[in-house]
Amino acid sequence: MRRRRRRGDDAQAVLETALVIPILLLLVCNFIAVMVQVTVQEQLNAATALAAQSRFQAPENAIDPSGTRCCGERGAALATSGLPTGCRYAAETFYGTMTTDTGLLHWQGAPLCTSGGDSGNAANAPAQPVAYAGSPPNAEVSCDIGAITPGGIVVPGYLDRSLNPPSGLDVVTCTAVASLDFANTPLAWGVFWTPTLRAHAEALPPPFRQ
Amino acid sequence: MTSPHSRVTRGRCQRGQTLIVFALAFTLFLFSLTCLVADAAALYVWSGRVQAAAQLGAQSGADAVDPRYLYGATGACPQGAPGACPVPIVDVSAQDRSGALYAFQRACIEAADQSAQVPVDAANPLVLKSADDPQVPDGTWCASDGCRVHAQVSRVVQLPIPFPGFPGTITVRGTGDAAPVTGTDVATSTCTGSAWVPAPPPH
Repeated sequence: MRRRRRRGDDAQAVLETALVIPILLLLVCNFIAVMVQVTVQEQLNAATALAAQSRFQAPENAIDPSGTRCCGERGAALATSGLPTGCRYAAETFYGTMTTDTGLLHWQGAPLCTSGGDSGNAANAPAQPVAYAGSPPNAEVSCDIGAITPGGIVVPGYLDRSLNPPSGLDVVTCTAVASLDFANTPLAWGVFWTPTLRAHAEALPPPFRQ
Repeated sequence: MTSPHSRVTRGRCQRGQTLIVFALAFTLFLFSLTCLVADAAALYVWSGRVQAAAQLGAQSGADAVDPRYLYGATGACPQGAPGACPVPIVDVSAQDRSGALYAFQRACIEAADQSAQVPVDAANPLVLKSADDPQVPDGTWCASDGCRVHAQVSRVVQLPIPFPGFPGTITVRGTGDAAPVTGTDVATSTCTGSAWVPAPPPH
């Protein structure tokens, strides 16, 4: 009688363990996934902000000579000849900062170098930036940067009309969008979501460069 | 002499007492664990954020020097003196200055405060500090040694689940250094050899 009860208890313990362990594993997987997401988001924010800021380290109005290439995700190289040198500096800074967990990211490609965006106000309609001719079309980071061409033509950057209203201030913006995919990791067992991470940064020109 | 009946009763009481003590201890343990995990996660996130803000602040400060200095250009001499004089790396002349801070400090503090989301008032975290706000108890301090801009950012972080009896806030700090550089393909750093400011920068 006692032996039968002990067997019943054992079976109950096995059943309870079998029910609880998957739930615990699911929780642990999702905790780790949230931690990874937060880490990557912070890294993406920092990389985008530093990329926008690094435009001001480039010599003003310098244009990359023909044959110039730089950085890129997983060994790819971006051709930046004919583009403002600030675009290449931004890209180098971005790829140099995004170093961890990048294998989990599916990037939403965009033109590396754009110009002419406008935030708009009551008197002016907002405008979307336009890619520079020859800009790599599928870069992981996209920056809106003004320049002066060798012919002396002024190419505007992003006009933020909330600054210095109503005429606005020509600023540099950088944007990066990627989705975080756990499919090729052990976490895929318990993580069923694929978050999209976005980072947008705006750098104001320093007083000596306004 | 104790009767068998009273011994059984005492055994039951002790079992009940053990259960209560275990329940209380386990509750305390679980609560402490929850506090530890939540607070450690918040501090982990904020330490990364503040460190990135310090790096951005230092970079922003390094970009805010006069680029004419980096290329050895000359400009008008101070106080109307005749001839051409070397351009100073920072805005030492009164007409270039705005407030008590130099341009590189102003740019450094603005960028770092905004990036680290340092609020003017802890009760209203949406209004962030600017360079003109006092940078205490948290905020940014920027200085230069003549080669680099050094930024120190501190941010008071409110712990999500403070443990009773312990402080509910912790100050997280980050530091960053950046140098103004010249060049197109190969960056060249420019060191003046002495601090850029004629007096210790305002703290």
